[in-house]
Amino acid sequence: MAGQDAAAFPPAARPGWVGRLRRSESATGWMLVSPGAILIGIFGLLPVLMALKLSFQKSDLLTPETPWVGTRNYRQLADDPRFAEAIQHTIVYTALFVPGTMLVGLLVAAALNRSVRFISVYRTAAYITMAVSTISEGIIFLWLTDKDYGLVNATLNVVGISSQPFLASTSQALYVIVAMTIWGWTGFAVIVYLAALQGVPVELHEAAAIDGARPFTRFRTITLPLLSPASLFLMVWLTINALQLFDEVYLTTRGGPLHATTVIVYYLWDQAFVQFNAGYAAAMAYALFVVIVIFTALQFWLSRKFVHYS
Amino acid sequence: MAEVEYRGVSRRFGEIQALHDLDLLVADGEFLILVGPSGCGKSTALRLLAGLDKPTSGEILIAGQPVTRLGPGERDIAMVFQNYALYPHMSVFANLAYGLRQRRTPRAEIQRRVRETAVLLDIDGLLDRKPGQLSGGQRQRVAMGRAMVRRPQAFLLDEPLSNLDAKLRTQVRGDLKRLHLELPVTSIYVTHDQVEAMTLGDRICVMSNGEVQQLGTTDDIYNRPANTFVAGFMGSPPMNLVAGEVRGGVVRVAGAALADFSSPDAPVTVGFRPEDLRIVGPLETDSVPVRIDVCEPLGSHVLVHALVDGSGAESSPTKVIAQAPPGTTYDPGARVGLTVAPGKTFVFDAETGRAAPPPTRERIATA
Repeated sequence: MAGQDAAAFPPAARPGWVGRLRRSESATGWMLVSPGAILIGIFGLLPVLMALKLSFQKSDLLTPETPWVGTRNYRQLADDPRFAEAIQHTIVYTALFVPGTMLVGLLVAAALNRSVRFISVYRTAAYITMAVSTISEGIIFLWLTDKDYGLVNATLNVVGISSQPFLASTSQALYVIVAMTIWGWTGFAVIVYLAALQGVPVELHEAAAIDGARPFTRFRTITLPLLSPASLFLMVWLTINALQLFDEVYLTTRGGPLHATTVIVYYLWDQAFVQFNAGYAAAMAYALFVVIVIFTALQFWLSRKFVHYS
Repeated sequence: MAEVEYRGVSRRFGEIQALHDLDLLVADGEFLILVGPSGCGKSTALRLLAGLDKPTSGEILIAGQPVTRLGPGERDIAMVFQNYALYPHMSVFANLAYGLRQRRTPRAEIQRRVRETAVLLDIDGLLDRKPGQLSGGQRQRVAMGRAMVRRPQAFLLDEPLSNLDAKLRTQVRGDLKRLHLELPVTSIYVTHDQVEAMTLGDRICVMSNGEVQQLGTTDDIYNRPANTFVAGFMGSPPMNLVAGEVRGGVVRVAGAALADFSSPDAPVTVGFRPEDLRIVGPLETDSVPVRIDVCEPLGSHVLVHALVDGSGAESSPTKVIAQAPPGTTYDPGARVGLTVAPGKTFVFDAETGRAAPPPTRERIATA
């Protein structure tokens, strides 16, 4: 039997390097990914590496001289009171925005996870904030919170509360931006949670109901733990986005009033493109990058305690 | 433990009448099987009893108390789901303890009862595992344990064996029967598997189209089927049903006289079980003439598939199955005759399918 097989399939001639390359799976794979990989390399990886170099240089982006300054930019970060302030604002913002968006998203998703008439209309409505551009979002909130003509103050006046300065107030502006970005990101959280909710088998709820668990207990002991992979994803994703907050601040307050809404990336932009301290800004970007990596790693490490993959 | 009663229970889903006016009394400690094809209403009946669905009309009572308006957690019943519905993020211990914790059972009592149940079901070594780390058979036992640990008034089982492989199913079926003998809790068991129905149940309720077709013991259902549906559903393979007639006080199929039957002349449906047939020569007196289709050897016996000559259109002759001794072989197309053992011919109304009044003495078939 073995002899027959050997006779039927004589050993193939050893192919040359062209033949080997043509047969090689990895060569085919590289060919397929190369268009994307090259573009990402040029427009993604290269600037990242150039920024790393820049963070050890002094540059005003205009003059060609970019003297090497070693770790001076990084040391300067530690002594910059405005950078410390920006970190503080970013932490306050992140601490409110991430849980806020997750909570609102979860509540809306739970409300939309049922079969009633026109449910797809409601679901689309919940997601539509994601389709609104940040510019429109900024303009809407500027109007809504306007001191004289804004709908929010008009409503407050009706119930007997005097007009609030909102974005013009050092104590309120950051919270208005929190509310605005929660509104803008809720649609995203809703979609993620809704998809996860639909993956929770209905029999588990039925089994828990027969076991005597009331609706809130079922939500807490069955639904929430089973949503934990979605919660981890949202927590990481939203945290990374929160630490990089820029557009909304730029569009509404320009970091003001009196730097009250200057967050890390806004300060970075201000240093790079207003003050023309590009080297210093690059160092800031790398400091932020390290913080994001640490935060994300921390979240994944903590998640081992509360995330259940079924 | 308690009696369970359905009183005129109906459930309608839009245009579809899933359950029609069900009246059923399950005695205290009885093991009742609801069996029927998909969509017959058996699962609907079970979900109504569990409180997972509300009847359109009628009343359900447990231990004499109406429970129709109570939630699932207030009925003191336990259910085993087809896919087990174990909480995937909890250990086996937490799965078993969940219902007790909801009922604020003291911690020591929970420990004691979970361990006791786990030992009974031989899952005491698995208490720290998650359901994802268990085999199908182990999950099934955990699901049983979760139902038993609460000591409910009634067990509701929704096709609990259908996700197991054939070998394991036979074993667990035996375990279930033994468990019920040790712990005779009122049990309502839904299945589409007639072997499970016949082996497990004290009584069987055969359902179709949302209605009860017959309620009785395995013996009743098998030997006295109420209609052609029950006859054709129960048994493996099921009863052969062939168009025939009663003429001159004799039941005939394809000209062969099978039994005396004292009723007016009329077309009827004649039934006979595969194991009650004997294959004889084609010219044997009063044998049903058939052509062999295929033979299926099964080791202990051979199932001979045949087509009744002169029945129906030539393109779709009536098929019958006969059980023959091992070693039986026929060439496809061979012509033979079939005779029915005495007293084993069933007669049904050709229009309604209802069983005709008990037949009389048999005349033939001793050849």
